[in-house]
Amino acid sequence: MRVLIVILAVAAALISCEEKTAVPQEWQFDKTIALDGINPIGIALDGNDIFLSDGDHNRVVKVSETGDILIEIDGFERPMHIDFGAANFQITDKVTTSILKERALFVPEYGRDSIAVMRDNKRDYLIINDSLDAPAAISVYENEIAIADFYNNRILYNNGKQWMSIGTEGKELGQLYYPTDVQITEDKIYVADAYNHRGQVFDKTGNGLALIGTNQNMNATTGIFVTKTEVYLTDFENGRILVFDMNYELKQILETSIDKPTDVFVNDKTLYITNYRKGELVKYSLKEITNEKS
Amino acid sequence: MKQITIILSIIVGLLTFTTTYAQTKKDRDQYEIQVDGLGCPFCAYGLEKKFKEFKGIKDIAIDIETGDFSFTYPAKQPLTMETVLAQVVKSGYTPNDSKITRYDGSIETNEKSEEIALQDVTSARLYVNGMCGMCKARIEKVTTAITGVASAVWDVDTKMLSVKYDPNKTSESAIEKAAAQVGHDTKGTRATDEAYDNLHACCKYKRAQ
Repeated sequence: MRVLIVILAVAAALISCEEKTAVPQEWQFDKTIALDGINPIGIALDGNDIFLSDGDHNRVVKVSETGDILIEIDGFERPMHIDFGAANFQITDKVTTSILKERALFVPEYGRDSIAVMRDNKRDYLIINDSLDAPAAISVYENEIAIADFYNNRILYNNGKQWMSIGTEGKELGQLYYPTDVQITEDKIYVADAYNHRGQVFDKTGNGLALIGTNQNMNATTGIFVTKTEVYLTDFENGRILVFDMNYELKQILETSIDKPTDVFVNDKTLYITNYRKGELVKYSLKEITNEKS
Repeated sequence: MKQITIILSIIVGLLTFTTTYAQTKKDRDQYEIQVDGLGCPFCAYGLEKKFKEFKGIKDIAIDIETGDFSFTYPAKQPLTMETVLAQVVKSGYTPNDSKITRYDGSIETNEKSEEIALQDVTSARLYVNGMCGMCKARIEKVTTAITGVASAVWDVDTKMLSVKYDPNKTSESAIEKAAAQVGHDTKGTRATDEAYDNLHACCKYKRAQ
């Protein structure tokens, strides 16, 4: 009898689990956080700490969930899409050269054609034996780095061993037109191909694999974020975030309270969007779709 | 006595600062350019970056919404209007109305002074394809520049150009042709692929097949 009860309980638990995973979810608007005097371009999280690049004011700030500035790091020249990582790269403070072996904040400086590397209050610069022209974004993944090289219409990518240039100017698959954001994943490189108004996927040898959102009438795709199950694109001029599945099919369009978005970041069941012009951080939450809505 | 000395020191300090500031301003020319194609901060910072190639540039201000771009530059090494406009083009954008106020108060512009005496004004609404505020600025600029056109206002949502013109001096087809020449398809005239390709990336609207 006891065995039967246990079996029944396990079966009930399994059924309940299955039912739970089957409930569809969607992103729902949560709140808008006003950022006093900040015009955010890029966002990166270090744990739950929110860091924003403030291009208009040449600084990177750490803000609280209510938008208060907790830390301010200034002296950048137009900092753009930032990222945290621990890539093993050569850095210099202009006097000494060393190898970076710890987690750091990487800040592409659009106006200085360089990548600043911040650890606590120490600022170094990534050594790159190639000339950048307005780096708009950086992505750090294990020992790999990718930089969106805006005016050169390419992604400068290091696979941990060597640098390579990905993409040429143009509108075909494999070509870019003013890329503004990039993200490396386990086996691919995703690009916000801003003025081709689309996302684009490359393999790690530089071959173009897919275009994302070409039929969505985006206007200036300035930011991209990729999770294991979704690709998020910012549609700057139209004030939207477009969510795609990993077959690059459109899943959801977010519009509420979004105005001139430049970047997006997903942290578990929370999604943050930077509203550049209004100086806001918009928060969405992943919630089950209720019956009333459908 | 001490107080008087302090007050006098402050006055002298302020006078010195004001004089120096005035001299600094006096030694610089003021440049104001209305730029077509600045859609986002990446574009605005890009324009700024390209102009920083002019060593000595200061007081750079860019309004992304309006496209108003201004800066000052040492009067000792003045930039010509042609140089400034060429640099805007080199940066990937299109210069519209531009003004240079030289340190001595003289003003230079790139506008043509033209007075149109319109005899008989008629109205029309023409379809012109485009997609953004920058398209609007371009379409209105090129069509109002036509001799005989009194006004032209383009609506980004309806894609319709409301135009008032003197039929003795121009025609609807001439207005459509002017829009097409800068890359915008109209009902009667399709822009060449070259003109379309020359549009700023922000302005590449979806063309009818």
